[in-house]
Parts: sequence; structure tokens; C-alpha cells
Amino acid sequence: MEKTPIVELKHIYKEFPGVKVLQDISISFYPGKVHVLLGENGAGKSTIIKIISGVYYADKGDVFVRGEKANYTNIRQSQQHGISVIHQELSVIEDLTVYENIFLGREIKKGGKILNKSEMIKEAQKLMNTIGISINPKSYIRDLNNGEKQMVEIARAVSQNSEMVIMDEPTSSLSDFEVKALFKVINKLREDNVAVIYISHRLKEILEIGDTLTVLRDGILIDTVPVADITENQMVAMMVGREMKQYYYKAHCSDENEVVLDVSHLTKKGEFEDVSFQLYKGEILGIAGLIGAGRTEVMRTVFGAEKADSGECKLFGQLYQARTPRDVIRLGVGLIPEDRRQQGLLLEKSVKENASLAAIKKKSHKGFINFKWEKNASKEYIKKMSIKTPSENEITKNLSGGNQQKVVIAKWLLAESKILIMDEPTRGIDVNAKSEIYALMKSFVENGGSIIMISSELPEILGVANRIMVMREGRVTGFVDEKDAAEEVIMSLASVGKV
Amino acid sequence: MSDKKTMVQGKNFVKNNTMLFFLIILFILSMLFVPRFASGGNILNVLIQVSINALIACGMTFVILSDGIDLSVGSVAALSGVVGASLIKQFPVASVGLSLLLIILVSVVIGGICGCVNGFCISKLNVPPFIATLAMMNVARGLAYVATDAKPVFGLPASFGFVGLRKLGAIPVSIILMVIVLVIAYVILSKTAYGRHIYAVGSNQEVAKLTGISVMKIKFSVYIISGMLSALGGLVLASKLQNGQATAAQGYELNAIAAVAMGGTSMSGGRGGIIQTVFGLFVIGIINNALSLLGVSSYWQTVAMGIIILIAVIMDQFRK
Repeated sequence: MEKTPIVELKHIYKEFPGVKVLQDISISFYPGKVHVLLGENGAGKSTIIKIISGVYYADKGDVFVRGEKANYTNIRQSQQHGISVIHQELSVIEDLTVYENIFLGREIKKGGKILNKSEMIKEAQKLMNTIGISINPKSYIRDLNNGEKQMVEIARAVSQNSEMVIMDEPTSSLSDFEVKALFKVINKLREDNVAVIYISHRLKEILEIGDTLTVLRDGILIDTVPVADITENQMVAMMVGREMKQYYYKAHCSDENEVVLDVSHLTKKGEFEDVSFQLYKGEILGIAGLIGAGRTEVMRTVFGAEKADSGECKLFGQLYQARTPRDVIRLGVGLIPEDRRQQGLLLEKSVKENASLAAIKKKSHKGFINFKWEKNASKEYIKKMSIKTPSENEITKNLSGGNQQKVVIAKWLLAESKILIMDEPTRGIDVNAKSEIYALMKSFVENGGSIIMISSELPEILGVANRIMVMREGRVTGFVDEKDAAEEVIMSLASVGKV
Repeated sequence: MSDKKTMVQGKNFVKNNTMLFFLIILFILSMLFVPRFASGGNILNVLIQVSINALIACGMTFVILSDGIDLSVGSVAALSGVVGASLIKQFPVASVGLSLLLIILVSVVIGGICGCVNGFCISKLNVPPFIATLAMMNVARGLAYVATDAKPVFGLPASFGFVGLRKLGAIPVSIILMVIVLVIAYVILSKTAYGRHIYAVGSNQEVAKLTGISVMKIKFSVYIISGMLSALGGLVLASKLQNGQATAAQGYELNAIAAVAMGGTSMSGGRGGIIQTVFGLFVIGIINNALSLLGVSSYWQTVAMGIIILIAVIMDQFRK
């Protein structure tokens, strides 16, 4: 068991103007071990990765690679020394094929100049087979879904025969099913004696895949422990510095006598077919399914962002033909989209401007903005929702993921929406903020609202939803009431279509 | 402690107003080193020279803020000038004021129609703005040639000079017109919900759409505004020159884009505004004027203008 660490951090300090991001961090990463870094957003996990891979330079302290001092100054150096990083944001190129992405920058060539395509395709196929995923190496990235893209990225990292693979929240866009495939890859890496650094907010996964766990809080290393010796609750306690009394919040105010949204036989060819469901007043309806099951597409269609081929929707008993989201928003619906950075927020604009955007017209006098309302209302909601921001004038780009998401929610609360469609509302958000969002959802439905929540995290759906609709390959495979809800039931409806 | 705070505030102020300082420094340098620059008459001259570009750049600001571009403005200005000149020649009616008003109206409507076509192609048919307005640039210019048989329309009644040459009291009408348009544009962009929606569309079209903003209407409208203001600019130009020519206003689209970009409005939309455009307009106006007074040839002026635009935008990048 006397292994030498591949990468070792010794007394690393890093400071950004005004913030101590890392203080006295010492960690050793061993070959054949999956080392989990856990902490809330802003705890310093990403900074550690960036220091190892050469994106940042430590202010004090040293990085050692195989016992040698290795304070890299750019990513190329770390790559040459066998360290590859899979970033949270996808970095595959949409307009290239799978194999072109895998071999990007280190293409196989004939005679030193001409690309050897057939060889690369063959190699890529071999890689797919060993990893156990079925993606055609010749398909274009733009035709893949997010989960598949992530798998390509992982394949690329694996193909570099790295001695260390760093994964920064690799599962945030994967469905539970794809996570299983990823874990197979990780297990294989472990057998091959590769050191893996794994960052995730999903505690269950950590228990399943991790060997060693390091918890960080506000740039300070709290503890490094074997994963076998720890429970989920202990992890949370270490992360937030106290025992969290309640994590999920569940409301019980669903009124089955009052249907607020009634969707029947909604069909869009190639996306989903014959989708019917009802949403009750005061209900949180969870939508479960694998990635690519058509959940987002159905909800975007209900919201008017896409057009259905057939079927009808009724809001508050009123039939509507939505051509644009505007028509649906007027009727009191708000959408919190899957990708808050690209679809939910104007990142370059202030918290105030984002929060007021949906209601600014309604609240204006003869077209003139009511600046007083805008300021007071956004201030009120910053306080009410405990959005952490220096002021209502802060640019939303500078906020953490959880606080950004709260701003998106605030936008619809200011617009006085009655129904919220939330697509993966807690993706990439830390434990504390997640819990706060569940609490917000609860108080929203208790005040007469209704929520549709798409989520790929089963524990979240079970913890929050009153009723669960499961989809598979564009069709509804079943409804599960909260009292019958169990992970196995939902998983089998989602993956095979029956219980 | 409060010293530090004021310093930070001061720093931010400088950071957010690079162009203002650039303008002030330019102004002071010109006062010191350019003969005859500082006279009241010359300052008025700068304002008159800037006024036509101001009208066009004003519309361009709307378009660029919405993440678009309008290359047709110069051609639309020429078309409008030609139409205006021809109309007044045909109908030199007794009631001068009325006919002039009518002509302005007709020209502006023609500009609006050009903008409408641009807007339709861009928002409904999804033609990229660069291509749609490039097409309109050719169509409008071509129509101006066709309408005049490529001959300048001159011998116009003196009343046509009202918007380009006449003064109200001590102030030329064109300057008054510029100020009115700029003020209205400023109010629309920064004080109305419609203005806010333009910024939202320019920042992120998808977010705007999912927030219930009619992206199509916004896009449509900015090209109409741009078309109408270009037509107004073209009319002032024709009035000033006392003729309508199909070759007029060549390259005006680039002057307008330069003024907008120089002021610091983001070329990818969502950031900037009329104040910035005003800075850009006057930086360009003062440089042109100073170089003329210094006796620099107009060819070299063009070279200098190119370099200065580049420097201004590079400065803006560093600021970010």
C-alpha cells in the first residue's frame, strides 16, 4: 500500500482581490484512487483544479507531480505531464464529428501531413467499445444530446492515456442511466491505476464511486477522510459547518378539484407523442425520465416556445393556441429554463434588470419604466429570497449559480406568475442554495401557485414532488403518486417503460 | 476610509466614461493647437457637420443595440433625398410650409418602407442582418438612379433649403432637428419598457423570447426607425446641397457605424446607448474639423479616421 502520490499539493495559498480563495491546502492524490472534492460553490474546488492544471498560479506553496516540483503556467504543460481535465462546461466543438473532437490537436496523420481519417475513426470506435458507449464516431457533435456530448468529452480525456483525470461535475448534465455508464469508465480508470479527481454535488454518487473525500469550506480544508467511513448527513454537516435540519421541503396543498393546466394528446413529430397530463392547484408535479425522453421539449411546447403538431392545452379552463411564450406568460405561466446562463439570464445585466424584465412593461406608465417600482421590488425580493449580492445593481454574471437561479425565479414572482415550469431547477447548485430553492417552491405552491418540475435527480423528485409523471422516448409511461413513489418504480418506468 | 471610497468611485467614473475623457482631451488639444478652432462660428460648424451623421447614427444605435447592423442607411438617405428634391421641383406649391412638411413625410415614409423590408427579411425570414441590409443597400441605391436617370435634381426652390440651410434665430434648423431626435431617442432607449426590451433582445435573444418579449416586433421596429431616420438625414443633406443626387451619402453607413462603435456601444448588442453615440459623433466631428483647419488633405483625413476608430475600439477592449 506504499504508493507515491501522482500529484501533491503542499501548503497552497491563493488570493483574488478581496477574497482568500485557498488557504494552506495540502492534499495528495494517489494512483488508482477516486478522490472526491466536496464543498459548496465558492469553497475553492475549481481553483484547486485550475492550479493543478496550470490555469492559475498559486500565490504560495507548491504543486508536486510524481515528486517533482511542477508549478505549471499553462494547460499544455500539465497535459504533457499526463493530466487531463474534463470541465463542467462542455468544450467539444459542435461542427466537428465525434472522432475529430477526440483527436483534436493530436490528429493521426499519414506521412506527417495528411489526416488519416479511417485510422482515427477506427481508433475512436475502439475507444467507444472499451468505454461501453454506443455513439457513432462519424456523427456530428451538434446532433448529440448533452449527455452524449459529455461522454465524448470523457472519451477524449481517457484516450490521452493520462495518469490523472480530473472531472469537474461530470454528471450535472447526465441522467441517472448515463451516470451508470460513466461510473463504469471511472472504475476502469481505477483498475488502470489512474488517479481520478472527482467533483460533484450529488452526495449519493460520491458514496458510490469515491475512495477518498476532501471537504472544503470557504477556501479552508476541513478534512480528508476515506469515503467508506462517512454518511451523507456527515458530508453535508462538514460542508455547511452545521447539521442541516431539513434538506427537502414538501408542500401538501395540492387541490385535485382545481385543474390549472390541462394538456391532452400533445404531439410533436420526432420529439414526443400523445402526451396528456393535468396540473392541480397547489401541486408540485415532478417530471422524471432519462435525458432525451422529451421532457424539456414537451414543456417548451406547453410554454409556447415550440409549436405542437396536434393536441390541445387548457390554462385555467381556457383553451389556448400558443404561438409564442408571450401568449402563455400573459396567462400566468413562467419558465425557469434548463440552461440558466444561456436561456434564463441576461448575464451582462444587473440583478434588478433581470428580475424586473418580465414585468417591466406591465408596471410601466404609458410605456415609461417605473424605476421606483423596479428598484423597490428587486430590493424586496433580494431580501425575501436571500439572494446574496452586493446590491440590486450587481451584474448577474458575478453571482454564484444558486443566486443566479434565484434571480430567474424572482423574475417570475415579480411577474406574478401562477404556474412555474422549472427545468432542472437545481442543476449545478450547492446544497445550501438547493435547499433554499426547495423552500421557495414550497411557499410558492402554498400561496396558491402550481409547479411543474423536470428533474434528472431522483432523490430530488421524490423529496419535493406531490406526483410524478415519468416519460420515456417521447411518451408518458406512467404517473406515480408520492405515497407509492420509490426510486425503483420510477427508474423502471423511465428505462423500460413499465413497472 | 471615505477617501478610499471616493477614489474607487472616481476610478469607476473614469472607467465608465473613457469616451467622455477622450472627447474632453481632444477638445482641449484642438483649442490649444488648432488655429480658429475655438471660435463660436467654428463650433457651430462642427455641429452642422455632425448633424446628418447624428440622425443616421441615432437609428443605427437602435439597430446595433438589438444585435443587428444596417448597411442600407446611406442608400436610403440618397433615395430619400432624390425623392424629396424631385417632389419639390414638381410641386412648388404656394403654401411652402405645408408642401415641405408633406415632402418630409413622404420621404420618411419611404425610408420607413425600406426599413420595413429589412425588418421583415431579418425577423420573419431569418436573413442575417448583414445580408438583408446589404441587399437593401443595392436596391435603394439602384432605385435612386432609376428615379433620376442618374442625373442630379437641381434648380430647387429656395424653400427646400429650410432644413439644411435655414436658421431659427441664431441656431441652424439641422442642429435643432438633431437635438430633438437625440433627446427623443435617449428617452426611448433609457426610460421606456420598449427601450429595455431592445437591450434584452440584444443581450440574449433566447432569454428575451422566453421572458415574453416579442423579439420579432423589436427587430422589425428598430429597422423601421433606422430607415426613417436615414431618410430624414438624406433629406437634410439634399436640402443643404440644394440638389438630390443618386450618388449622395456614399459610405454614410460606415460613418454611422463608426460613431456608434467609437462611443463604446457593443457591436454584439445589449450594451451602450445614445450618450455613447453622441460621444462618438463628436470625436469624429472634431477630428475631421481640426484636420481640415490644419490643412490636412481629405485623403489623409480618411486614413486618420480609420486609425482613430481602431484606437478607440481597442481602448474600449482594454477597459473591459
